[in-house]
Amino acid sequence: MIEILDVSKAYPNGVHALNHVKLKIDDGEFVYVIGATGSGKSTLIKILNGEIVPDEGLVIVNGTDVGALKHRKVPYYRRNIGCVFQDYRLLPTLTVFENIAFALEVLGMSKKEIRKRVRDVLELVDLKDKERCYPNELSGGQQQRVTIGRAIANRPQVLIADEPTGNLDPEKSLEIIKLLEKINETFNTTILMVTHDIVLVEKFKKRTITLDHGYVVHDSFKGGYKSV
Amino acid sequence: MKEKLNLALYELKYAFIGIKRHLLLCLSAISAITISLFLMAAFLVVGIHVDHFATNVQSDLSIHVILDQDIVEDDQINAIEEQIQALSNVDSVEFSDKENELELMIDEKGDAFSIYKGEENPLSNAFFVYVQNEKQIQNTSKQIEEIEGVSSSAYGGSSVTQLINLLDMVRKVGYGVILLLLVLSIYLIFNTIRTTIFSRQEEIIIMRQVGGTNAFIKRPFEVQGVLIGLFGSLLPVAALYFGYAKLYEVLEGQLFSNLFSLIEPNQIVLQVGLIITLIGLLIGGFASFWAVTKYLKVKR
Ligand SMILES: Nc1ncnc2c1ncn2[C@@H]1O[C@H](COP(=O)(O)OP(=O)(O)OP(=O)(O)O)[C@@H](O)[C@H]1O
Ligand SMILES: [Mg+2]
Repeated sequence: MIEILDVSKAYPNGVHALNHVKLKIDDGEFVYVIGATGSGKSTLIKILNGEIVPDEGLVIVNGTDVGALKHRKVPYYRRNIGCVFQDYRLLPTLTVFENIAFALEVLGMSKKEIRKRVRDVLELVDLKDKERCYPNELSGGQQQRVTIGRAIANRPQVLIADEPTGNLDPEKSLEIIKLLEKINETFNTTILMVTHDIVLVEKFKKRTITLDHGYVVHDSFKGGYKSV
Repeated sequence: MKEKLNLALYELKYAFIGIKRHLLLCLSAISAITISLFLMAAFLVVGIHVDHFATNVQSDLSIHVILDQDIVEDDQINAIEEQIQALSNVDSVEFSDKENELELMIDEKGDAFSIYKGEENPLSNAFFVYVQNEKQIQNTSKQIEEIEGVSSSAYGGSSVTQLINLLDMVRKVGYGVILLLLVLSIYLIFNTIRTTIFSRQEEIIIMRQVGGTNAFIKRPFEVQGVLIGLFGSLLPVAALYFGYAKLYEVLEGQLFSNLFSLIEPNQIVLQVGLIITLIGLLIGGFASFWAVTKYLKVKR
């Protein structure tokens, strides 16, 4: 379960990226976060994966007080949180295969098991033929799928995705959302997905949280996008 | 347990991947280290020799005390030796009878003097006196001359004291230069490795974001640092090994005279080689550790 209790965050330059955000997301939920550019969506993601600490309030993920984690404990926490970054963050000197394997190697998993897992993941994100490529040899959409593959490789309980379809054509976007739905259903993974894609939100109706200037202005359990 | 082993293997793998896929970066770091260790080795060789020469010249320096012609009895000789030994700056006294004195003279001035061998020997018995502080040798020599039964007392003269003072100064300057160079090359190596890692700062941050612990991220870099240090010291050690042996051979083991005898190649190669290799390894490893730790802390 994800609990965000009255969280505020201002950047050193004075921008109030999040203001008194209160959210509760149950296990196995699939939630969209939408909002105009600069409304604080990525900041919310960064607070969830522990990259930034809120100025006020608490972030509790599966019982862990994320803001209170010691610096060296943060990586252990992240092993249960798959994260798809808006800017991919792939390791430039590792191949597609190695990038995904890295997230499993840090766990000390055996080589054999890793190979099997990575193959499965590559199949899932449809990148089997690209496993030997380096990130700079891939298109934006392909890199994005590698990032998704890496995030789901160790079957995290929570998956947070910052615009995972941002660089994909409608057809590929559809595949990704279906993939995420499949992960959500098979592994009961909680998914929080930031998106700009209104068409997608309208088509695959789910709980949708709308941010505006760092405030939660709408939270619809009914689903669908609603302008404020 | 199994996991620990896997982790160690992966860490080693990433150490080598890091070198292989950043080959140019590593090579430039290695060459920078090679150059500074090479300089280091050259100065160490010179420095160790200056020290060696200074010690040689000083320990070779003695006062030649010639006794009066009529001092021949053991009692008389012992009494004088005791008086000399009692002087505060005297380290040791060595007796040299007149036969030995003649041998020394023949050695120095030529075979013509061998006609004096036997009963005809016109020389006197003598002592060689070694002092503790070479700078006080002039005083000590004077004091010995005052002793009853001593005919004359001489040492190398003021030119020798000047040489000693000069060597002493060169030795001090040499120590200073070596220390400075040591600090400089340590800094250079440190900086080179830091720059190498700086260009990989982004990777370090990403590794943490996908669950890599600090130890898992750090170790490959540390191994790389040590390896870079090791490879960086290979060439300087080889140059030392072949270069010094050649130099020793060409100079026939000495500089100008046997007072300036060169140190055995084996000893120099072992000493200097060990020092520069250790500097390479330790600074390489430590600089890596330091730099990665720094970049690990950049983001949470
Ligand atoms: N590191 C930072 N330092 C200062 N200000 C920042 C920083 N990151 C974000 N901001 C500011 O905080 C606000 C929220 O940024 P955030 O990245 O969360 O927006 P977003 O909703 O993800 O936007 P987008 O849809 O364009 O990705 C913006 O006004 C942005 O300029
Ligand atoms: Mg964003």
